[in-house]
Amino acid sequence: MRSRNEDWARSYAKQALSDLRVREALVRADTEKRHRLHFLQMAAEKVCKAYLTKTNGHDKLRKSHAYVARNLPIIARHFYTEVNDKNQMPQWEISEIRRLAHEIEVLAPACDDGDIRRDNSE
Amino acid sequence: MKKSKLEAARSLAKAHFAVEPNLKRVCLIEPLDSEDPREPIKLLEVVEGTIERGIEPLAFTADPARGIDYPSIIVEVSPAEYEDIQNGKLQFGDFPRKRAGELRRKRSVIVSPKKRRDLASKGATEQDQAKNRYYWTLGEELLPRRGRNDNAIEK
Repeated sequence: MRSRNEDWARSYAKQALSDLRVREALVRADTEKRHRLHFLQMAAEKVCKAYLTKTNGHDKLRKSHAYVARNLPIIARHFYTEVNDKNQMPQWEISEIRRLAHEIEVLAPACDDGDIRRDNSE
Repeated sequence: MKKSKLEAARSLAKAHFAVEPNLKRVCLIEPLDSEDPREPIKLLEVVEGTIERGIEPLAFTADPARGIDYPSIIVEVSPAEYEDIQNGKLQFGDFPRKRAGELRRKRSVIVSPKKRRDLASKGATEQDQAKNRYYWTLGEELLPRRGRNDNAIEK
């Protein structure tokens, strides 16, 4: 049976959680930083893919790792949004999340920010 | 009491303005389809400094515990991409129609015979309505534009 987009989205979300758990296990085991960052990048990318797959469809996902810098801040902003004037997230936090999302994206060796960022998780 | 979909869209836009310092405009993407609670609120958000990668909608489920009563779809674009949408250089693409296909398959089970008869009496098939429903167009601006150095929402 052919998988639906919702099945793909759920699978990406589960894999993201799994990657994050591995990252936490690596932190506890005090492994080298690059391994921890590698799993952080993979978790962030799969969270974005889960949300994108639901609307765009799995076959429309680009063959790229460049999802995080643009989409993670949108997801974070929505996740922390409370309607009815109960916003508890200060504006500086979303700006900081945007900066961190960009740093996470360039951890993928294929994402070098137009040949500017050669540093990555490898 | 549950808000109307338009009121909920305005509240969501206001909440996003409150947390996103670079958000300059929020526009409704139509059709809103007030009568169908499953149809998401669709917002086009113009954010200064966002990475330009065209139209990439993100879908979110409803979360009444946080005051979000309806599912939503957010399309974030840069000011330049917003101009391109306005002058027709950038379009919403074919994903709304594709999504319509998925929903039509679900709705063929959900729609009652009475509803089908009502639709037929109005001269429109369910397919016709669904097709129109998923042709997205830019709707009204939900909150006034914010200036480059103005972090407060204009009254």
